[in-house]
Amino acid sequence: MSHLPELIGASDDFVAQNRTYLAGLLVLVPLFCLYVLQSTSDSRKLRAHLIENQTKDDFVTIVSHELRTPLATISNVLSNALAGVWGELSDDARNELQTGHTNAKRLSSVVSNLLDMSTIRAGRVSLEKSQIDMPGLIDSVTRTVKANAEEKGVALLVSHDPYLGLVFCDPEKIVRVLTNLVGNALKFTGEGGTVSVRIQNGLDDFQISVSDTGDGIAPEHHDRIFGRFEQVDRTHGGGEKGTGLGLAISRELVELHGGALTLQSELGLGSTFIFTLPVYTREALLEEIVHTEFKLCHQSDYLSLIVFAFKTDEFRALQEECSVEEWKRLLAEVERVSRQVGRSMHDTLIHYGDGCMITFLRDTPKSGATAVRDRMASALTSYEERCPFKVATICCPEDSATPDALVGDVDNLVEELANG
Amino acid sequence: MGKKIFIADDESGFVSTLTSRLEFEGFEITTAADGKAAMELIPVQKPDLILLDIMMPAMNGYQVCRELKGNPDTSSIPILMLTAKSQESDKFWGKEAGADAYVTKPFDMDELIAEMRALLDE
Repeated sequence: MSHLPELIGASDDFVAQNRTYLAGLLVLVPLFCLYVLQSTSDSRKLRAHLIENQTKDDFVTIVSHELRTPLATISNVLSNALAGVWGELSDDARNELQTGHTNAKRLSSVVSNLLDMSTIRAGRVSLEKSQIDMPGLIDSVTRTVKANAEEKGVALLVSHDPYLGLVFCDPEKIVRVLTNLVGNALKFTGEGGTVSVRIQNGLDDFQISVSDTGDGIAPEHHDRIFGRFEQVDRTHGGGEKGTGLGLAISRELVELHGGALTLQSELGLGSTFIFTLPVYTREALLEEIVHTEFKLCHQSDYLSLIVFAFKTDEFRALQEECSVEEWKRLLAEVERVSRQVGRSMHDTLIHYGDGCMITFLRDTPKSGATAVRDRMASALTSYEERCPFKVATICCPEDSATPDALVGDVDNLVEELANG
Repeated sequence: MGKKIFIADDESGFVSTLTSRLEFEGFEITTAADGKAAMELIPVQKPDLILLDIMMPAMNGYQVCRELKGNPDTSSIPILMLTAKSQESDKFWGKEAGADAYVTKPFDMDELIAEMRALLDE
């Protein structure tokens, strides 16, 4: 059990005690920052030292652990006090603790950003890409800032093309980019303004733009704003300061996806940040996933695929007779059932063109895949009435000798199942 | 009686603050300061949810997770990895070991509680 009630004392003493806490935090915050900055500038020396001592863990992991755990404890103490764990708080105590909590959160964000930047610069960020419904992803981001926008009196608008395809990206990283751009747009937009997020389907790429009706950014700052530790003076920021790393990290994350992050802005006319993500052909998508899945096979060189395909003619007829929402719901149901009866909910599953889905089973030889295929076919029988389908397996190395051969053979198999 | 939560973490200050809040929220808490102690207590206590750190003495969190998920008596208990590690490969190994969710320190306490309630189907 915690000893904090004794340490903090009765709630009457809270203000005095919190002052001590806050004074501690005021000392800790710059010390932590200095430590991290110092460590970053001396990173080569420190890295050499770590290697010399044959330390297993690397620089980033050590700094990460040493900073994050005490920070988590500080945040918990402040959050517990605010939640009333040690009794009711006076208004003064609540205000001061809230200041401490906000600063602890800010420090967490500084540490996270510095560590992320260092990981990205070291080329150690890998993308975990999957097919994403971008409007859904954007909704999840705007939901988190909705209350803040309402409080500021800023309207939040989201729009997209009606027939938007699935975007192949790392959702966690793209949420990070969107959160940063939408957060910045809100921060620099005054009462009565608007922040709009728009997704457009281009031929070669998806364009996601975040616009605000703030004061805009002077042309001479357009390049500088994406630099590390850059803070450009903008009004309506309400004194909120960031780490100066958010846009630099966002640009790196977008570029890792093969896209670009740019700015269009004029003083007095607001700003628009636009990022692009490449559109994948289904062949390119399959090729990338097959190679990634092979890399993730840990115990063997077996990779099996379960291919589900609705009959093309019947599926097109179904698409004509029902609404987009209805056939999308049908595909979502087939995906849900396939995952439930599959080997693991975490197995990769992709939508491969009209009415076709492919599940990837790592480290699984043909015998194992056949059992999963039978289970899947039997669980999906009830959907046959809506639209006939076929399920088959294709395995490497049993059916296709190499990953490249597998990519070509899958395409032929899909054709055969859908039209044969 | 509140749901039983087992915390395995060697950072006593962190465990203490987490315990205070979770007890305040109505959960019943048991703790262990290393992986081996966790492996002895969990099969006996059968908690409703386990909060598991990765870097612990005796046995690390991945090993504990893999053993619990491989034992039919404990495999159905949801495991939430709670750790200061946050690199891509760590998340991957956490999932491969069978963890049901992964939260990085420092976290927002309300978000952690929401994640716990989702895993507990509350």
